[in-house]
Amino acid sequence: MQSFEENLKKSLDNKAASLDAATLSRLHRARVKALETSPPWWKQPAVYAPVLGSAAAVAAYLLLSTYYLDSNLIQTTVSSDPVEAMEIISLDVDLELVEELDFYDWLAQQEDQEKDA
Amino acid sequence: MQATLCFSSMETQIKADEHTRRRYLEQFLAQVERRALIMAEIATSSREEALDLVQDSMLAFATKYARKPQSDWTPLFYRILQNRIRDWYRRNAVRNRWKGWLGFPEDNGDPIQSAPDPHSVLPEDEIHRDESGDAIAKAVGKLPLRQQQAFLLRIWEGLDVAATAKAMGCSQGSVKTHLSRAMASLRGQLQEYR
Repeated sequence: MQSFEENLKKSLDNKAASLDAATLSRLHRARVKALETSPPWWKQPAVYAPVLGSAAAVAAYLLLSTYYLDSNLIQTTVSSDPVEAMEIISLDVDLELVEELDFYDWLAQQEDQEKDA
Repeated sequence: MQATLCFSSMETQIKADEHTRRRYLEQFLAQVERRALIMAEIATSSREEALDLVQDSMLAFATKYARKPQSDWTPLFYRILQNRIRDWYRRNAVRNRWKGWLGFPEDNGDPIQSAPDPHSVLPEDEIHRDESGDAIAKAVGKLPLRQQQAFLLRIWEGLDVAATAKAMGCSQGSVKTHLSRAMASLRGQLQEYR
């Protein structure tokens, strides 16, 4: 004996199987149209979304890290010792001396060593 | 030379994959289209509206969702169809409200469209079979929309509770509740099929 659910399923299956030719033809046309409009996989945005998302994330990371490093560099150059920075700015000396301060410092040390010797 | 051969081989493989994908898609749509039509027809009581809804659903599925894994296709397609049916209900409700306010007579549809198709005459046994299907379709059509969906997707289409919930856009508990109510109502209406 079939269950109530089986009877219902069977009747609905029969109804679906006995659709008229005109309806089946329209369903077929709808299917063909849907397949025609379905883009190939390489044209679907879903394919590129992960790649583009990752690329955007990497680009944003690089941009932010570069900006962060630059701002840190500027901060350390300018504000690590503000008194020294103000001295350098206010000194009436040749700019080349300021830029090559390490070299002149080393030169002075060499001269001192020669004197000591 | 080798690079050209390699590229040509890749291109052939891509075309073959695309051909296979389209064949699977066509098979899937052919497999679900009849049931989808009956579901939409039960919900709208109109073959024309049902055909439009199924066509819209197929287009939306093939255009936007066919890249999803094939195991998800069935609940996904029915989700699209049920959303279309729900939208149709809303539009219809608004249209009927406006007609009520403005005092227009109720639209009974085009009499030519609703006339019986003379080519669909079937032998006597098939007529009886059709009548039973129609009686069940009418009984299901009287159910509230969510109960219809739960019954048709879970019992007729044979989706499991999780897939039915996915297709209906609700929790598994709601599916069980809607289905239980639908079955109780159908048992009351269709005593002769018990």
